[in-house]
Amino acid sequence: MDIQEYIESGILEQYALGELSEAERAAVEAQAAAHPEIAQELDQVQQALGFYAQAHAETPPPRCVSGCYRVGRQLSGRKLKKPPRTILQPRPLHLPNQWFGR
Amino acid sequence: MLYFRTAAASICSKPHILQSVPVSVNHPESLIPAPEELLVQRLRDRDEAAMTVFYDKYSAALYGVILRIVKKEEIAEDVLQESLVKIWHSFASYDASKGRLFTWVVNVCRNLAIDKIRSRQYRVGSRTQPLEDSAAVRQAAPTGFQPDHIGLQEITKKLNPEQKQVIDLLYFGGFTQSEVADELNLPLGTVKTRARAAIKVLAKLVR
Repeated sequence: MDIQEYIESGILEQYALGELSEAERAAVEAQAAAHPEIAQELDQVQQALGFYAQAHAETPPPRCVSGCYRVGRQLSGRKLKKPPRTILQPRPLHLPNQWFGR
Repeated sequence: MLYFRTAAASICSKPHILQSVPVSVNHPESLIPAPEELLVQRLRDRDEAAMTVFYDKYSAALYGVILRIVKKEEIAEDVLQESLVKIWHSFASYDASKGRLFTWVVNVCRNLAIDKIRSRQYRVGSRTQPLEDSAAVRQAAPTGFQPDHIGLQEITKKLNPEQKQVIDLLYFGGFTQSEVADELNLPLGTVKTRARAAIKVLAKLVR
């Protein structure tokens, strides 16, 4: 298989965008495991899209925050003593670099 | 981050731990697991309090993406909550070897948001309504913007309008590449080329 051709086929973008079936995803993962160049390219594509996503960050409205806290309580199946302060006042997100490596 | 400092402090107070960890002069921070790894471990261990840390760290990014997709705040709030539940319950299926935590969680949110816009009550409205009309775009930049954080405007300047159109339809519109080709009346090859070019531009900005 021509690795460059594979990379340029656009399949890695489809993978990262979630367009592929389970079987197709597994095939891409197998290629990435076998070829470091493909793994690196796939990582770059995912980081690029993650970066684009992060650029659209918006703080959820306070009512959503308390709703999410309720969700958290339901998940844990018991009442917490009091809401953690961090949930009431979500801190702004930090730099993308922290999450995406490099 | 407080979480990070706490972890550092707890390790430093136990000097015997340091002896078993190889010390890198260039990367002293490698003494401590990266915050993301700690968070993943805690979520894997079903540590409910870790969801708070998770929320702190990711909610704005996830909410922003969801809002761009569903375009209505109330729906976006519902989808964010559904996403948190799903992330918590399906955390075992996150495989760190396949990508970063954020990649996985943002795709959980995108999938739920896209399902939502494809559901019956949404089909009445137009999926292809220009993104510029959406509330998300009219809103000011998120508060707490970091000075060295590259903003959306800057990114938009680097992407040409054709690239941006394609990437937005793919990422926020829930379109496949073939659907974008149909929608814009373009050959599939052109859509693939533009998508790849857009992602290349973004990849350069990541560094």
